[in-house]
Amino acid sequence: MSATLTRRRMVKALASVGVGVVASPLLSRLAGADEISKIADIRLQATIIFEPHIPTALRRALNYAGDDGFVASMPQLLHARTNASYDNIIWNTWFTANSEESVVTTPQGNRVVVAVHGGGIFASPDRFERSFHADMNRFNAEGITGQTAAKISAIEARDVLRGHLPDGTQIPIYPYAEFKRGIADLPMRYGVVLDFEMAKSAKRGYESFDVLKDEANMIVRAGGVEPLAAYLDKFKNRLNTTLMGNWHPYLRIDPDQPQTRILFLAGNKGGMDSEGIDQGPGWGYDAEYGLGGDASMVGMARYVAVAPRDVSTSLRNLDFGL
Amino acid sequence: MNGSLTRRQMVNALASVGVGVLAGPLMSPLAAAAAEMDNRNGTRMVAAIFFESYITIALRRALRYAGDAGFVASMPQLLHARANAPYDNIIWNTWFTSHSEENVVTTPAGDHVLVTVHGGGIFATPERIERSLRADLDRSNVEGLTGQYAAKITQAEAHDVLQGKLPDGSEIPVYAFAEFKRGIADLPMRYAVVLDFDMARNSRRGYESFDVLKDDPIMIVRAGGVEPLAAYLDKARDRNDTKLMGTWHRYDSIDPNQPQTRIPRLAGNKGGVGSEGKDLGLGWGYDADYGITGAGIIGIGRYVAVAPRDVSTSLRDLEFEL
Repeated sequence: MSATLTRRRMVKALASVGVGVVASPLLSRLAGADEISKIADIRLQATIIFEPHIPTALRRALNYAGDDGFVASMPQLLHARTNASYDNIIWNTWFTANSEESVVTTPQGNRVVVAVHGGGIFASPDRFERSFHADMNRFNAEGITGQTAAKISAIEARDVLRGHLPDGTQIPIYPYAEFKRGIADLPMRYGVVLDFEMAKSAKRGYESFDVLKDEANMIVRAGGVEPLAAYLDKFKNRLNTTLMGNWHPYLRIDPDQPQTRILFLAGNKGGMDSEGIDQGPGWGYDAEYGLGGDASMVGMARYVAVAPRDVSTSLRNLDFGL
Repeated sequence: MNGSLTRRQMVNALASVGVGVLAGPLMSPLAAAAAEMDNRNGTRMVAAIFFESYITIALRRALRYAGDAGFVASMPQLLHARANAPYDNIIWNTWFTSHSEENVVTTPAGDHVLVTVHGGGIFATPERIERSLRADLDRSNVEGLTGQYAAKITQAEAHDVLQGKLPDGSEIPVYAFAEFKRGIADLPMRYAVVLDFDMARNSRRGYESFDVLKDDPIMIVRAGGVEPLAAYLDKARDRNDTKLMGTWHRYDSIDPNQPQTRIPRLAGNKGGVGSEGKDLGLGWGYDADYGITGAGIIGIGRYVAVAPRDVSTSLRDLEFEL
């Protein structure tokens, strides 16, 4: 996936594919479809990939996405929710985002959070495995922090700050202030640099929608001020609630240890107890806790992968009843 | 593994194996095969660590290594090994997953109890863990995981374990806590202890003095009795001449009406740093030497499996340098 491919271009390209015109260089693998005599009905098809082991889930999601699709980032998940009915599964369970937040110290010694949407340092299952299988001794520069973030190397930290990703991709990096003002033609894959103290100062817990609309972590996670506002309005209107959860780890971590976490979007059937009030015992990851950025890098994952598929040849709706 | 095999019998049998006499019915498959060998071999019990970032795979590998003639170490066995090992052994210097489990169960009379099984209980197989991990995680599903990552168990499983009936067909002895605390002669390797849930809930949680821990019900059950607990605590205390050790459970924050299972973990890090929970600073978590806890079933696992191996044929000490 080209880092400079904007969402708008992607939508246009895929729309053209959807009506059977298959000629975009962005979708080169589909060029061969021209040779197919029948008119294909190629559309973007999303699928859920759940595994109790994150690297396995990501591997399957990337396989499904292929070169022409993508694994949904947090802005993409929120965008889908914003435009979906509340009874869609997108609203009724939790998801893992193909987005990450890295705590990095700049060459000048400033601590920042670098958020990358669309696949960053942990864009590959192999990178997860490298952390998981490292010596877990606290003094090892590799592995998992005590609070289950993934440690990243000084080189990875330096590179992501400049938009250099391990797969060789170069992505644009926006300072938060610029990002907040709005970026025209935002690509699908990009980074935002947020001052660590600003990230840390956000309330960790349930907040009013008005406060959340101007909260820095939320703006970055949602992909901008406007998409955040649209999502929060839709969320608020679901059950006419006044609060939503917003979670980050930055109050309790050692920022001198470069580290990365991936983001999770909470959800449960019906959006129960999304204000965090009177939940009673037993609730946890299955609560509708809002947006989470402090979950473990080790554990289960539910990604959404999206890719063009020829729905005319799918067996999905065939009649197998005897 | 035969549920009626006592630890003493096992040790005796394994000692005999250690000197090459292989005739016990307790160790039939491997022992019988070994007995047919012409040479006097050096078969003895050899322990190995199985670490995986996905607990199911770790358990599968550990069980495969153990085979019919070995075992995956329970919490009492891990503590026993520590109590008899020097502090520089790896057993003291990292954390381990035990082949023990704690089940929250409601008795037919309506009482909540905690049924601890050592040596493999409901979750003695990777398949059973997978069943929970791959269930619909909707909160209303009776299968799957609780919000706090414990594994939900069925009413039938809960009923059976209370009676010592395990899914693999084994029957194990079940001891009431009061009886267990007084001491069981010839305790088998695989058994259960029933503790009143309120007693479990009121057990200490946090860092406590060794004297208090010696009389703590959850600690007594996890350690396999009063005497082995005292031996372990004395050894843990003397390591760094500390006064406190950690003991953790979730029984004050779960819904006991939901039958559920957790797996005890033994903490550890290099040198036993910070084992009193003081001045840990930022960033500590699972890598702290926090004592003993009951964890969820998702994530990483580090089991110890023990099995008879012919060390005389091992390549471990062969010379490969050219």
